Amino acid sequence: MYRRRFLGLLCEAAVIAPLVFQIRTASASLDKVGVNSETLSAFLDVLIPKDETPSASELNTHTKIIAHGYRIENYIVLLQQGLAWLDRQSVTYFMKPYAALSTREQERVTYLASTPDAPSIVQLFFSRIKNDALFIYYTQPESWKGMIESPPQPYGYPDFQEIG
Amino acid sequence: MGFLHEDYDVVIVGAGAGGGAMAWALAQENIKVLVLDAGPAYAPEVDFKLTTQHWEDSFPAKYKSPAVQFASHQPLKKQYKGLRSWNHLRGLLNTSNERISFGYHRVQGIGGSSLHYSAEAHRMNPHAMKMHSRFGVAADWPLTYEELEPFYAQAEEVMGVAGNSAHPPRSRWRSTPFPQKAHPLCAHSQILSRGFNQLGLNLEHNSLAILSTPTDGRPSCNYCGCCLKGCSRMDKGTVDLTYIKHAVATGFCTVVPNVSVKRIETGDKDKVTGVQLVHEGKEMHLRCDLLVVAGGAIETPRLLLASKSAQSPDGLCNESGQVGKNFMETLLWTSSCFYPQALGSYKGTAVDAICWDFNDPDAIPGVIGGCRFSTSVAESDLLGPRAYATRVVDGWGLDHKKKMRALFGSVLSVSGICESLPHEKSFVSLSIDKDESGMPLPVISSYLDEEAINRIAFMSDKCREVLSAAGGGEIFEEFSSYDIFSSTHVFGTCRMGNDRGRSVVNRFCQSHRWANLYLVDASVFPSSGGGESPSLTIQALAIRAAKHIINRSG
Ligand SMILES: Cc1cc2nc3c(=O)[nH]c(=O)nc-3n(C[C@H](O)[C@H](O)[C@H](O)COP(=O)(O)OP(=O)(O)OC[C@H]3O[C@@H](n4cnc5c(N)ncnc54)[C@H](O)[C@@H]3O)c2cc1C
Ligand code: SF4
Repeated sequence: MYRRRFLGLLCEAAVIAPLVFQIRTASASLDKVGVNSETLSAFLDVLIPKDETPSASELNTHTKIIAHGYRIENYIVLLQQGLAWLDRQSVTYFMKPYAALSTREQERVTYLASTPDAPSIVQLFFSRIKNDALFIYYTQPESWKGMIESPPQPYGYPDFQEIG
Repeated sequence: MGFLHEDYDVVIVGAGAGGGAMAWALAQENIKVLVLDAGPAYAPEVDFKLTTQHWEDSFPAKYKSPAVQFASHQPLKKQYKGLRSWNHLRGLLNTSNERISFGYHRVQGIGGSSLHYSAEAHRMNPHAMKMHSRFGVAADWPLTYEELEPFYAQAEEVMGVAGNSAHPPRSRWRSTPFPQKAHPLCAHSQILSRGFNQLGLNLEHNSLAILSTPTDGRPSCNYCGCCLKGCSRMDKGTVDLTYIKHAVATGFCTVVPNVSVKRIETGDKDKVTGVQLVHEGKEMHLRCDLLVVAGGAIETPRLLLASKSAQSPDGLCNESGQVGKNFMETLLWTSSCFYPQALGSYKGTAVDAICWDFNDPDAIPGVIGGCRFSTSVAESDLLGPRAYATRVVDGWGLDHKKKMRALFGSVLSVSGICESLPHEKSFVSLSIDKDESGMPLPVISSYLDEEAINRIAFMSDKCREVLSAAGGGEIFEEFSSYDIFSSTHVFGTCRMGNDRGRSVVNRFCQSHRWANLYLVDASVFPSSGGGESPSLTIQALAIRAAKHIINRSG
């Protein structure tokens, strides 16, 4: 990617990279049944919750990620498998699907997905969906508050010499 | 298609640094020029995204350049594990045990890669132009810095180069001051310069083709940092806004985008007679009296090798066997770290500061070939929230959002680029695979010997030392050419020289055999220099070659 572009493309490359993983036979036809968008939206709101800037779902990150996923082989299956795993853990530990849990409970299940003890497909789901969700979310100007006010042009940074 | 029915004195293939400068220099002298480029024309205000929410995207190429294949899979050694590329969130960027390629980066279009470049405008270090007679490596330049100097001055004038005339880069004497005053250092470079100073080194103003004063109907820079994403403000000196604009204004230059030249045709009297080209899927023929090829150090040897015929069975201009050989690449190291204070480190021109202290070919202890160090927040694309969210800030949830705001603009980044020397295992050849027009794809073979790896190791040590001395915190990302090939500066594949048995063109960039064929891009460089960016030298060589053509025809 850079020297000048090596790292520049890193974010984008990760977002568009194809997925190579073992699809369990039972799930191979899953993408026909669509993605559980309730679980997805709840999951993304745990990764990117509302504070002084909107939550992931308020900026439609979940619908954008599904649209994005349909352009990449295996992506929808990865989403389905990961979300199904979140729901199964939620039922096992709290007897409710993920979307129906309290925020604290959702965070605990999410934490399980983020650890190296999670099945490898779930680890891949967690890291890839988190990366892509952040990428999509932070493309939107509503998420920039506290960092930058607007795109770099047309105003530029006349204060570029000031430290701080 | 009107251009097919007109007569031109000179046909130029490629509208980048070499082709643009050649067109400008010829058109000034009322020589009628046709410039053909495989890519499209860009309209900076429309095509570049810096005013939109998608500004963090990489350069918005409108034309998909033909694939370049990569053939080398050099095994990586355990002893060099400290030279691997990594990111603290992603781990190793190359998880395999062999060197991989992230590609050869260029832009095809009117302006060529200058549309995408950082606008560094460097002169060659004269000491790095005699690598063979001094060190027995690479080849000597068949011309001196003194001979090139007036053409550097002309090129700087056209491009609007800003620099510090009181302290020009070491060893490069100047006949004139820089046309524009130097840009002040951004906050990030001010902090980094403390690190360099601590180590007894100097971080200086970089010379940049970026306007510090409004000139030629273009505004001065407003320091948005996004030079590599395409400058929509148009203060960056790109070839389309400078050379090409002024060449066209003379009335003697016609520029035609979206035309690929796939073959050069020759006659029996050691003269090039024309080119085969492809436009909108149709093949055509164009007759030419004098041909200049400026496709860059990959595309130029590709075209020559693809133009083999009964008269040139090994490819055009390849009597010496040197076409495609002596490939030299970008050898780079970058380290980026946290800094304990908000700096606004994303502000400023892309590479406003540079250290030339190790640029001489004998400056790095124990190895031949020099290097330079420069600031690299923009070249590492650490410019916006998206990059921070996915590469800098760890975790998730509220904590991640808080850290985003706390850490944004608080990073330091420094890079080294060093000499790349020819190696028999580094070359450009043709693939059996072809592009849509039926032209064989180029294949890059690249090999790093111990010397090259030692140069990278030196740069890695120095980058880490500088960051630490500048007060930087934990390093979160490093990028290395040791395990990932990723080139923007490429050289050497049609070397110039006095000995026709060992080179492809003479000291005026004219083919040794085909008297009406010139090559003006970095393919003619006999050596790469110690990290100098090549574009200004390509322009100076092209203007000098144009003068040779003018003198011939006059
Ligand atoms: C991200 C990036 C940053 C860089 N930063 C710097 C920097 O700061 N300073 C610097 O000096 N250099 C920099 N460089 C390198 C610099 O841009 C190139 O070395 C320089 O532009 C090469 O000029 P050129 O004219 O030889 O080739 P190019 O700029 O590649 O132009 C060649 C042109 O020829 C056309 N072409 C090729 N083959 C054919 C064909 N067969 N038919 C028709 N058209 C053809 C292409 O479409 C292209 O437009 C950078 C490069 C990149 C990619
Ligand atoms: S820093 Fe200056 S030259 Fe670079 S893109 Fe911004 S305005 Fe253009």
